[in-house]
Amino acid sequence: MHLLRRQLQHGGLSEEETKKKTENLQKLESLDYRLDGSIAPLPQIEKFWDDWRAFYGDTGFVNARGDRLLTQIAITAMDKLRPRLMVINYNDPDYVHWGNPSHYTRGIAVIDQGLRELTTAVEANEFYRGNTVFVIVPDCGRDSNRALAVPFQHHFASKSAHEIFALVTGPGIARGTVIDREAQQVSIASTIGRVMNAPTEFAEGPVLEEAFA
Amino acid sequence: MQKVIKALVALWKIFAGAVFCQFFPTSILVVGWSYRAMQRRALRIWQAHSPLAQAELDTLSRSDALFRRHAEWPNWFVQPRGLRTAPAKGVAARVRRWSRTVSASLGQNIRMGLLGILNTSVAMALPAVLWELGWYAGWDNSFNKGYEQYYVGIAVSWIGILMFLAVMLYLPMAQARQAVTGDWRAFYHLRTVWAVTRNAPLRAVLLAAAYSLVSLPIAITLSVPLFIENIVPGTAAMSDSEFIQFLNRYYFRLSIYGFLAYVFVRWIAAGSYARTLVELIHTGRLKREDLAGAERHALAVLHLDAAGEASKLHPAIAATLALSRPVWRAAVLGAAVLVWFTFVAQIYVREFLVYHTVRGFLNQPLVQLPWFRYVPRSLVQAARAEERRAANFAESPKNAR
Repeated sequence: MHLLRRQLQHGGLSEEETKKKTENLQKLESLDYRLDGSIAPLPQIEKFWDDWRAFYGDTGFVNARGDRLLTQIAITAMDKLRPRLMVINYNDPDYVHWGNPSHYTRGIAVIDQGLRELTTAVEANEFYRGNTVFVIVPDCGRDSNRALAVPFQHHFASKSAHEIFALVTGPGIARGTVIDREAQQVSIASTIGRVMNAPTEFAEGPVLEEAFA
Repeated sequence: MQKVIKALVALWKIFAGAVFCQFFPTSILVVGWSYRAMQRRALRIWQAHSPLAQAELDTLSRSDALFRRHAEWPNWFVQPRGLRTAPAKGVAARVRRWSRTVSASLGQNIRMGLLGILNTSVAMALPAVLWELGWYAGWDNSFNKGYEQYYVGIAVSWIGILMFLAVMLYLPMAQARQAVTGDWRAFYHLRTVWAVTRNAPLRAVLLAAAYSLVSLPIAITLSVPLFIENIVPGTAAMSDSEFIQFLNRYYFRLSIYGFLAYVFVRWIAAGSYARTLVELIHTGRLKREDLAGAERHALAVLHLDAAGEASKLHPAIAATLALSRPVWRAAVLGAAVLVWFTFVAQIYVREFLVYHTVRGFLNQPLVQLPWFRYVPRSLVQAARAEERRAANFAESPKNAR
């Protein structure tokens, strides 16, 4: 959206390009709940995207792609914006609903590499070193249909499609502890609230107390 | 009683065919067996077209080795009854006769199957490889967000599809020719094979339609495993070994249908080839010199290898037919290509729903090897690991009681 706004602001587009970009922008803005006027645009965020655009240009072909791009944006944001809470929604493995098995395992490897880079960036940044908690959790499991050579769906309400793990690591977290009981994914939100000393009165799940040292 | 025996023999042949369609090596036997069945079909059609009297045909059936071989549907193992020699004298001769009797058909099925699949692979290799490469490239591009190379997967796939469509205007008749002549080189007689196809375009359309129709239940059956845990809830609780047994039964039922479908489309192809060949010989568009192998012998003894009287048409009608024939042929062969496209579409939809790794595109069971068992290798390996763990547990001194 930032790119489209800037391109329309700077002008120099043909009538058809202007019309197409305006329509795209309106469509994206209609999907973003943060544009209801209750949250003012932050100048730091605007500058962040301006700097990104100045470095990588407009094509999207120069920067990293897929989950590697998310890692790159996250590390850049840590450096320039210093967020206290960051959610990175990796999704490359999701492509393998219908694809090749190697892409699924490659997607996982890309995420592993991303986590390695993030932990390195955290250790190298004084603002984050020693006071950052990582919560790594899938949004859903996947089917384990043994009749298929590529069983990487999660559309068939199977037991394994509802089963996920959560990995929590950092200061204040119990080291080497395995919580081997059933817990609901909604507990993650309240657990993160506890880590940050932030109230989560709307969270539906209880805090995972065993996670804390 | 004879009818009961015949029915039991037929059931045995179908059962054996279904079993052989489960595995890659034995599916080659099915190819060979079907080629022998195709030769039999052609001989039957030519006998019906022959000007010989019935008594002469009966004599021919008893005296000529080619016709004696095909008195019945091919056997899987045992030598055809019509070719068995009188009991021999001496132990060595008896042993030789016995071994020939019990395995002659097996040898024939292996030989013709290997030659058949070799030639079919020559024709199908490139389109199949392009399909697989295009499929991989397309998903690879999607995964890596290679937007500027989006066209690679699509283009490679379409090239493969167009090549397949062109190949399928040739391949069924080439397979039939190889089967009927018994000569693998006849597969490459481009002029003759193409003459058969282009002079019977309606038969080409009907054959394509037959392939497409009978492949639909196969495509559906290969896609159903995507929903198997919802359709048969008990499967989720099965051990890996139990689940393999379940899938074995599932794919065996598919193999019964698959074997019959495979033989059916070849039966139609052989009939189309045999009828068209005779028509072309009769009208002088093909000569005796264009015949090969067993078909040359068969047509000669049946007095079908010479041109007949030219049909007496009014010159204007003959000219109109001569002028419109190329247009008619092109239009109908174009329709055949469209029908073959529906066959291709089934493959892509099936592989989209349930990807069968490289085999899904490299082998089309009705065209190449009739191999219908698709139990995933990962499941087989998991079952073996499960069995090893169970065996180790049972053998462990702690558990020995």
